[in-house]
Amino acid sequence: MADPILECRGVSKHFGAVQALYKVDFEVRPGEVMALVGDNGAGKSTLIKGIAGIYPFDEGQILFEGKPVKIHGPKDSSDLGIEVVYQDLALADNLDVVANMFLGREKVQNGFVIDEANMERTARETLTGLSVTTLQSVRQVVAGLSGGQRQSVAVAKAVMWNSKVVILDEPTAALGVAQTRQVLDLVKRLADQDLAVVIISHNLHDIFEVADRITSLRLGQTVDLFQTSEVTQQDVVHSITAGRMKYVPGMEQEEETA
Amino acid sequence: MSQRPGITLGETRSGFVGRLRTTLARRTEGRALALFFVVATVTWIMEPIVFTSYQVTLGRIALIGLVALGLTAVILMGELDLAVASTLAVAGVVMASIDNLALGIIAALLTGLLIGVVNAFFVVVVGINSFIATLGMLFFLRGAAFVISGEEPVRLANIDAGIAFGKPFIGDLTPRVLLFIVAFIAIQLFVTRVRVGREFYAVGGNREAAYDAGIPVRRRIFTGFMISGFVAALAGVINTLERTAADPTAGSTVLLASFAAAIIGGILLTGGRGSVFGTLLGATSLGILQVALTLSGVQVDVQNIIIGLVLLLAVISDPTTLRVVLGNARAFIQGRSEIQPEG
Repeated sequence: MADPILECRGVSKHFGAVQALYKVDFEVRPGEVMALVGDNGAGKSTLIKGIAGIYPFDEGQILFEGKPVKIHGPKDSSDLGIEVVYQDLALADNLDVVANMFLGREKVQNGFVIDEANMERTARETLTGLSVTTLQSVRQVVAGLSGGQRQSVAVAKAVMWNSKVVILDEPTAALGVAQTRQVLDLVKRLADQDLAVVIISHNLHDIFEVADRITSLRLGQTVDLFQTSEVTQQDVVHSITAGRMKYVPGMEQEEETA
Repeated sequence: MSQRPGITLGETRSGFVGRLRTTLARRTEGRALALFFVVATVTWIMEPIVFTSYQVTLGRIALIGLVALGLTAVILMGELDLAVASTLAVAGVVMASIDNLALGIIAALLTGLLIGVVNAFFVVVVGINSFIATLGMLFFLRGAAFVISGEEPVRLANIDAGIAFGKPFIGDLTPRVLLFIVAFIAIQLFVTRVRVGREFYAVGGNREAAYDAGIPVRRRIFTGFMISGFVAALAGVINTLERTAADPTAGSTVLLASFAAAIIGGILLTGGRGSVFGTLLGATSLGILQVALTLSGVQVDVQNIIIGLVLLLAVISDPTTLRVVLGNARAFIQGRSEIQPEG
């Protein structure tokens, strides 16, 4: 099995007195879909925001392709090839698909003139490569797209920049059945292209459909790492709600004897 | 995962025809174009002199239009610049106060840029709503124009230059009209083809997303206000040259007319939608209308009534707005209270 492309070892993060993450271990391999589950407040968002460089971790180690790296800001993580698709998708409704995919990173010729044809071609290649076929045109304005199409555009945008790890925050939360289908297919295709995919979701049905492995968090700690094929949804629910925690909050290094 | 055959995401649209198709597909100038044709046709029938003495009409269009063009850059980002007319006056007074013509012009244009920087500073750094910040600047600068000029028009030292400036330069076009055309082309190219300008649309559409995507939003807003200040100052310079004197009251009618031109042109005051070409159309319609009404002897008060009606009609007749307006009217008649916001 491939070595992890991204690995967090014992990362912690606190906000004031609140210990949001405590000695969390997390990894994802190229070509796999890793699901991140946990109840509200378990630290899922804090973990991905740490990886994305929005809230850098207080302690612990991040390894990328086996080498220790420092992530202090969003730019560090995107330079490594880590892209996050947040729940709000960060799309500008008034712009078309191409303009959104190149938002802030437009291609230019002669130093400052926008290279429309080139941008359009790259955008179309990326979308076609992901088999996103529901879009009529890459020149459609994003305001007129469905939820699934918007999600596809946001994902394609993340993939376009030669990224190696794509993190999806609740990609199916606001979608209907058919739309969810589109997005889950897309997630599988990303993994088929040897990208490492991290997906956060509350919907275990969706997770069992796409994920190879599942990491469950509870109250800021890693409680379990499952192979999806070896467990049932019941096991995962148990882990999320009553998983055995390694550390007693507030007590350094002491293993809990359950 | 089998890819469905036969589905492509449109052909690559390069070349002139392709660009034209893309351009036409997302135009926001529909109502401006419609209004332009209506106004032009009616004027053609009722008052053809507007077109035969087109120098006058063009001058009027350039007066409203120039300021409106600068304004467009700011409104695209969802901000307002109410200080443009006062900037025009201050720049003119500054220019006329300096005896050397070239130095005066440079000083006036720099004043415009500086005012833009100050406006943006209040909006971006201090965090004041741009309506309020530039409203403050409107009063401040108008007052400053009066103080600097000693409350009366300042005569230009080099009157010959002013007289020469008013004469046709190329063909029948006066330098004012030519400068207007140059400014239009420059700003149009800037917001459609240049990266920095294109990002104005992103800033106006979803500021958060633009920021997350790495667009320096604050710097873009500074750029926008500087364009608007510079263009307003340029209008002030032109005014002063044409009249061979700088009047501290100059431009008082321009402020609202330039906003009207931009709005008729299809711009959304909350940002992200609209175009420089639309503003040009809006200014043209408005200019023709004003000249036509003046030539047919309509009093200024009545003119304002008509322009107000045209503005309202233009906004209501926008297809997307029309649906909301009809819905709201029905809700109102039926006594329901849920009124949807426009747009």
